[in-house]
Amino acid sequence: MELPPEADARTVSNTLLIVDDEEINRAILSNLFADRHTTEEAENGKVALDKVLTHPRGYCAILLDVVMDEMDGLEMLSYLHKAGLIEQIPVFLITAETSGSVMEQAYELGVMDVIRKPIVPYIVRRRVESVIELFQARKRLSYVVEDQRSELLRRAEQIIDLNRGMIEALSAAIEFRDGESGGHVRRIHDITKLMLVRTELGSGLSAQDIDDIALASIMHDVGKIAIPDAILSKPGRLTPEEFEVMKTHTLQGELLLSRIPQLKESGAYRYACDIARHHHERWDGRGYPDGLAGDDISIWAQIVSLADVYDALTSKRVYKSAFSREESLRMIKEGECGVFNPRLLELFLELEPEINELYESLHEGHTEA
Amino acid sequence: MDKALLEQGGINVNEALERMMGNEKLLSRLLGKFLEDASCERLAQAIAVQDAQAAAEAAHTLKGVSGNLSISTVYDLASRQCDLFRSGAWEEGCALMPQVEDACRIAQDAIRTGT
Repeated sequence: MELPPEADARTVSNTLLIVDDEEINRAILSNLFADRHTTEEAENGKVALDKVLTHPRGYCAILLDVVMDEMDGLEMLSYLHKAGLIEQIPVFLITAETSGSVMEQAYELGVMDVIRKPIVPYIVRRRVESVIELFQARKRLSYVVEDQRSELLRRAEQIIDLNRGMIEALSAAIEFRDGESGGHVRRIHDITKLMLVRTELGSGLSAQDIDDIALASIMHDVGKIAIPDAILSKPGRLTPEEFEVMKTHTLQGELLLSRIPQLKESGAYRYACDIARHHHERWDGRGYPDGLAGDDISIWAQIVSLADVYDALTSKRVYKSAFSREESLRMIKEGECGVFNPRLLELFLELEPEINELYESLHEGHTEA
Repeated sequence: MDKALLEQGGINVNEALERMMGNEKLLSRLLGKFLEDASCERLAQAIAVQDAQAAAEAAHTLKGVSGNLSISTVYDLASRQCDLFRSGAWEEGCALMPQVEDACRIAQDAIRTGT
């Protein structure tokens, strides 16, 4: 026995539905197609419509009589038309009807062909079979195309994942040098994305832009690879000369990124350069390297600056232990880590409980400190 | 199956067999169904109660069935009658009824003896 059509949505049905109120007519048509198809019969349009609506993929064609009690052929046709099924199942009107208006109406409703009763066997077979073959081939082809499309999408996703993995690996490797575990870049990514998705700061940006910015935020500190160990891992306070060297990680970062030709093709590139260079600028113009102030600093660089400070304060670092959440927030609000855009700060504080929850669920860095 | 008898009853046996893809058993079985077919009686009844719509439909059904079984005598008459009813020629359509009934009876008799 054949599997029911719903067992596999991809099954291309080979069952013919024959609708006629006269058993004799149904038997003749069934016999005519018995060698190539399984057939089902219905004695009126209502029964047939129920069958089709229950198994919309269950039939390769419908042979439909016109004059029947209890929903005639044209009425059934108009239901199929309304349900959009007429494009998927070819319908043949098989009728002793000679009136031109019936044919016209039927063609308007999307009938594939009108075949005269009494039927001439080779004509019926030929006309019906050609159309069934066409529909079946089209259906099979559409499944192949669908498969190929989802395979291509899957591969594209793999490549995007791999890219992101490489970027994270590079950034995390650099982070290892100053004793971080890789969690820092991950958290900056998450905070940045959350701020853009959930607050007005992201308005005007597409979902793709936001993903690009979040990805770019991961690379904010790549310039640290150019900072000597003695400075990067120094437990105590940096001397003014050492601090000057440390500050160059912003420019070095931008330089490094500009030397990865493949990155230039990525939508994240311009954000990554901007963030690497400007994530230590401050609202009042007292940051580095360019001393930009106010809205001259892009909103994404501003968000990453604040996220970076928040994460640094609440985490343990070589030169300091972790501050409590309350203490960290106090320090940020009172400008001890530089001045931030007041609106940005306000939105950040609104969202901070959620960010804190995120941190606790990550169980990393500051919670172990 | 006695072809000659069936032919005398107004049935074009070769044409009917072709429509059954040469399946004699099926033809016998379906001709047997024609003995039980109610469209001729429905037609007579509709005419008796002067229901033009029902008469036209019954004539149409009879035309379809007799056509598919190649009962030419019945088919020709039912076709004419159906057209007459459809075009509003009620009296002329009704006038054909005795002929239709005769043709049906002759065909049915032939089927009873010939299959």
